[in-house]
Amino acid sequence: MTDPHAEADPRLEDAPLLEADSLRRRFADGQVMAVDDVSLQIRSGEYVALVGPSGCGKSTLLNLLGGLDRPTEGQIRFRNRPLDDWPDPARFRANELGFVFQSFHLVSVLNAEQNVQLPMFETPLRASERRDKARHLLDTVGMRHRARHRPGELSIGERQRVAIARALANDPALLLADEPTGNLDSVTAKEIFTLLDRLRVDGTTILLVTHDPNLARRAHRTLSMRDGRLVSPEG
Amino acid sequence: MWFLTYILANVKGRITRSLLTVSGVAVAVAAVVSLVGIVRGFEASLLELYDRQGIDLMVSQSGRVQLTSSVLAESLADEIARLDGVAQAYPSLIDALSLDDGDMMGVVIQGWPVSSQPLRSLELTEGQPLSDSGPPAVLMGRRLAEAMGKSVGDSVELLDGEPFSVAGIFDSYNVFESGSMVTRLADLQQLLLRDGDITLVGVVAADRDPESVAKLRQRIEDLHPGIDANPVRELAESSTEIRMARAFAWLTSTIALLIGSIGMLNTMMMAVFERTREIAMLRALGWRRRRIIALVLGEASVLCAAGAAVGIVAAVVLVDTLSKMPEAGRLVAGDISTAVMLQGLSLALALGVLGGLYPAWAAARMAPVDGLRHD
Repeated sequence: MTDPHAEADPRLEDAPLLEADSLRRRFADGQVMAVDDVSLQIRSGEYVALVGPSGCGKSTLLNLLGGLDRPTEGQIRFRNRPLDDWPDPARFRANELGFVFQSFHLVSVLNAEQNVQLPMFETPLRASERRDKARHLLDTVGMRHRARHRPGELSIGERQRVAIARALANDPALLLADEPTGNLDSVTAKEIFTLLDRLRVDGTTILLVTHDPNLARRAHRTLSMRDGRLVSPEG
Repeated sequence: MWFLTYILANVKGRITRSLLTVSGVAVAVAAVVSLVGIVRGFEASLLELYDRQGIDLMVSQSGRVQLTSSVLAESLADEIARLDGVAQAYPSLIDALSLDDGDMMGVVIQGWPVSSQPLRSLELTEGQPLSDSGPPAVLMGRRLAEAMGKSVGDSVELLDGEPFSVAGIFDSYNVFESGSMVTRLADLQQLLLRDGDITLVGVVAADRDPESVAKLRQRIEDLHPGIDANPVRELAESSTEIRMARAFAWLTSTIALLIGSIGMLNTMMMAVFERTREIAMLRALGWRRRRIIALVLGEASVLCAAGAAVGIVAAVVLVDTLSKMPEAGRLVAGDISTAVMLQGLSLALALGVLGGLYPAWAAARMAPVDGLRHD
């Protein structure tokens, strides 16, 4: 087992950041194959959209790739290292991933700045460093002026911006976003499009699940799913 | 933000439930601290009383469950006084009476020879010391006199209406002493129809080092079969009344703690259930299981610490109020030791950990993907 904190091998520069081989996810009753024989690769700096009708397995696939769920069959490798090699999937998520959820999942009793700091508790940063970094991230998403406001005092779009800042808290190698504009009106959704575009330009690797064709069009490439399978050619 | 900030925000964010939980813990802690504090205070008063009188050994009848039921011959005190290594030996008759006068129950009355050191050492604030002769009279402790509304010159009716005049009132910070009364040994023997009987002999050793006292103890016990000579601390600790009071205090406290613990378990289970998605989100963000456990146990501990603080303050106020009430004031010292308060705090924190452990474990083992789907 290799050290999860070890620096990436320079020879892996062209290797995929994330790779899935023949993934299957069957649910408990064994009747539903939510993800069926999915293989894909995502390279560093890519912006990939995953599209498909409701219930086709997009979110299940995202959960598998993010280490939130385990495949029934198949393997996922991150920086060429199987996820199973990580002693704790939580460490993998804390060190390498950022999550953006459709319904934001902000903590209602904390303000925006405090919400952004939550993932940083799994890093060696001190309290003052966490605060400074959170302020910087809120600045990045244009929310610095709302740092002291709780989620209940923010608009829907502002909440999603805070959630995106939180996802970036630990400088993730890969940002996983599940329907980030699903709960937003078209004007607010455009703001989020712009924000994700900026992140893409800055080199953030993004895998995005979306129904929104406008958002999918902005990606480098689009993967389509139907009935648990990828139906568009990978890559 | 500190980790504690998040814990406190969760506690403040659900203020009604937090206050109710704190109240439950406070009641449990107040019960423990006040009951245990009262018993310990009473025990300490008893010990302090004998210590102050300089008594090293208390001689009583063997095998008696209650100290007051010990029966010894008065002549034993003279026998003991003649032993090598004895500085003084005081015969004492002790009983607890119920008095119609003032509707008082369990009033301790002690009979001593007028010339004895314990009687002479009482600090009279009013009246005169007892004289060798004259009509039956008592000296009353201040708390008892206040409870019965008596002052010097009044009379108090003891068994079957036998009138004793109140010759004087003595003050003592010792609750046991201040809540009792003292009379001449002969008068009490006559009142109780126990001529020639005593309950105890208090012995002051000439040489008070533990080894000499232990040898003296052996010499006294060798005088007659059926007598025990015990150091005061041993006697107080083995006293049935104190042991029963302790057992009662701990039983009541245990019940209170159990109820508090179930309340805490319920609160934390609710907290975890209501925040299923939040906990799942934290797991998704990379929080390890042990941090989730620390979050839940931290909240439980904060609630318990707050409950302990409120409970300790409530216990102090309660005991102080009781000590000022006429009836209870005879038995309740007005202060609670720091050790008992710390005991209450420790118990509350243990209660927090116990009540929070299962919810914390349940939260930590939650699969993030299931939690995120939770409605």
